[in-house]
Amino acid sequence: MEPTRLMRTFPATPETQATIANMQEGPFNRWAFRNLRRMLPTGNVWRGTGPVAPLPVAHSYLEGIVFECASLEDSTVGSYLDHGFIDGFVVLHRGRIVFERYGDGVEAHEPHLLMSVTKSVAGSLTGILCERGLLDPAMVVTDILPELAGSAYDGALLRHVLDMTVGMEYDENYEDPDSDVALLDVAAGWRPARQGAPDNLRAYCATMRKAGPHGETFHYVSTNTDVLGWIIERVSGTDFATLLSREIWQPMGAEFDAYITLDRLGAPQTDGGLCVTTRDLARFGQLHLQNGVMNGRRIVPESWIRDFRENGDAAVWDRGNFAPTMPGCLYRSKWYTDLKDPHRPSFGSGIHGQSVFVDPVAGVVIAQHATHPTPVDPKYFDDTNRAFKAIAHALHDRP
Amino acid sequence: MSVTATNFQDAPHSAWGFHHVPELLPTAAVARGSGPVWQLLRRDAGLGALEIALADGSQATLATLNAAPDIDGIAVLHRGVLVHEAYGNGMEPGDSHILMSTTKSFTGTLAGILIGQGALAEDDRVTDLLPALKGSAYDGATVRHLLDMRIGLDFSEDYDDPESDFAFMDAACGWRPSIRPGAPDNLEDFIAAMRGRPPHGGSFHYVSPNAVVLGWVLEAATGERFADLLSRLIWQPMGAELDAHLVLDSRDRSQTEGGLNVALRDLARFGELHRLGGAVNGRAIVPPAWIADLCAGGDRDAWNTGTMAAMMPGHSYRSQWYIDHGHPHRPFFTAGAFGQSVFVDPVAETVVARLSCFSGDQETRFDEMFRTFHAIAAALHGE
Repeated sequence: MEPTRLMRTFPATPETQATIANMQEGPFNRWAFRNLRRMLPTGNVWRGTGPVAPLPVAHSYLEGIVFECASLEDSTVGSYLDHGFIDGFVVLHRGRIVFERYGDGVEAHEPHLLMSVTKSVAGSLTGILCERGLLDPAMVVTDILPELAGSAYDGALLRHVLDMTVGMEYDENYEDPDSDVALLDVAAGWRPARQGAPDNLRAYCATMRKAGPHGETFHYVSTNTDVLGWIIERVSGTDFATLLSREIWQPMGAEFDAYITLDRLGAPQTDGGLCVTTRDLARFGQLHLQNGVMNGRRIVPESWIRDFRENGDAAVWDRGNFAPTMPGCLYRSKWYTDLKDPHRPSFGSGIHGQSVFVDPVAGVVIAQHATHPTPVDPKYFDDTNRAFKAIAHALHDRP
Repeated sequence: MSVTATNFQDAPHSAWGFHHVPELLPTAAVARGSGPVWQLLRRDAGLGALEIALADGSQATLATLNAAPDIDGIAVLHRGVLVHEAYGNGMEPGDSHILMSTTKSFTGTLAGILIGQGALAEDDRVTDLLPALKGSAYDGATVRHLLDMRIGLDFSEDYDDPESDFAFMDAACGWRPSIRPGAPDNLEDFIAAMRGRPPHGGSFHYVSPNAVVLGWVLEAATGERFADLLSRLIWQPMGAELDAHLVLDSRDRSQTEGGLNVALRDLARFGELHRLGGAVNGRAIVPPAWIADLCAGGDRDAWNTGTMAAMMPGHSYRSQWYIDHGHPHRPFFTAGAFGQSVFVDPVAETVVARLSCFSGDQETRFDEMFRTFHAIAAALHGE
């Protein structure tokens, strides 16, 4: 169904009604991902009153770039954009917008769900707090959050939470309604309440079960980043949305307010609930391309960015659960780095096609919002990966 | 202590909850757009020292009254100049605060704009625009009946009764826990089940769902959502300082009787827009005839035989605003549960916006609030 047909009448017809129960499924996600505020409680990430960081426009024709595409006969960027359920797509080259396009009905000022790219934002916010001395990756999680004593987080360090190496039992299967991650959705208010299941994020985090040692194997567990959000709020004494506004959104010169979904007790969904405009996502990428400086201000410590680009542990990744589908990558401080590409791009990635991609050699940032019909369709993810690299390399080669 | 969607109306939660509603409930943004802000000149008129006579015969200064723990904000405009402003409970100028039934006056004025544009007529039938309400209390009712709260129906709007009709509406929009299994969990199911007691057009009967239905009528007539209409027709042209936020139910329906959240100064601007006859900064926003009509007041007999005559003698109700006929200045104002109001005294050229989280006896608190309004207007008028 075309997204423009969803939720358009008063009331919506049953076939076009987006609800908490269907908001993550296609086609309803096409309306829901840019209207989360209409469905859930949210914390506002204020852009402040300062000047917007300007993004000069220098349009470039990218549609004709050809790449090896798995799912399309016509393997061009133009075709990828037409058929990839793209809601927002912004490409920066050397700090200028060379390409900007929105999907059906989406407008540039509309914040769109980031899913797990939220994690990369939480990671960089952690770097800022470490620089201030409020946090240290060597800190013990349960020293900061005694509430988690007796859970999987016993003995875990902040570093393990940052790098997804907490030893725990967890099933992150987005399509199984009884998986651990489905119960995370229930706790966050992203799925209807269930009898006996925790009805808030913090109670849910405490139910994680330990399995194996910490620090040895990459194991993608979204809950880790909700624990990280909790840690950030505990040590800063500030709610996540306000802190993000103060430490990143205002100083980087964001153009629009962002917002994050909250559970029924006000806990932010920091593993996936941040909603931002595509242009501001591109600014966030540019901030990292510029080693943490944006809008004339030092925002994220350079050492933190350098560390996540260079110091991930390849052996930990290779033992982990993403190595078969994403060989040759690293994961550190909530960012991925692709070692197979000679440019070593870093990126954040979220289900249904959300991404921010930073190629430091080509000087390229790509911000993408999408609503793939299913959470992790390897075909679409592979296309995205290939399209981004093709665009970055093509721009790198242009004068 | 956690403030949640289902306890935020109760003290002490309301002291935080009333200015953090988007963190508790789904909301739609009422965008202020990118146009210039309606700048308010500032001049402190020294009102803090103003002595106000209270019901028990004692006196207190405005500054003392403002410091009460259940007052979140007050802003006073005199001839459009911001002459007094104070906040409480950690509320700041950038925060939006729930308006409760002051929302209804926004819905009413928006109706006036759309009627002025011909998108809607006062004698349009509600069920022609909202067929889903056929067979409900709204059969045979017109837009004007909604505007003036003269729908004939059975409804108990008792805020202290946990099983009143109003309590079931609160639960239907997610503001209270479910009262019993199977009770409506969304506004439309609740409203469609309301039953009438015709005729319409009789006595004033304050029924909050009427203003929800009015909001939905505006959406149906235009094909635009209430938040977008409010943005396009009032918030942007008026030059609101901050986005407002409208609460939605579990089915994305607009809560247009009590769910609007605005910043204090923007509430004052909304009042000033009415004091100025509907035009501001050279832009006509509300038809002057509409405002003249509401200032003239509603049907006095309807009021005197209605549900609020004993509590507020000498008043009337028109187009979702109250008019005080007992006062020589004939001020008109809005009133929302727990002390939300914007008060316009056209003779004293004064507007007072007030946001609160009244926790004590509501009647006493409202009495003090109106005494405050009258004392401020009198002082600024030079009496």
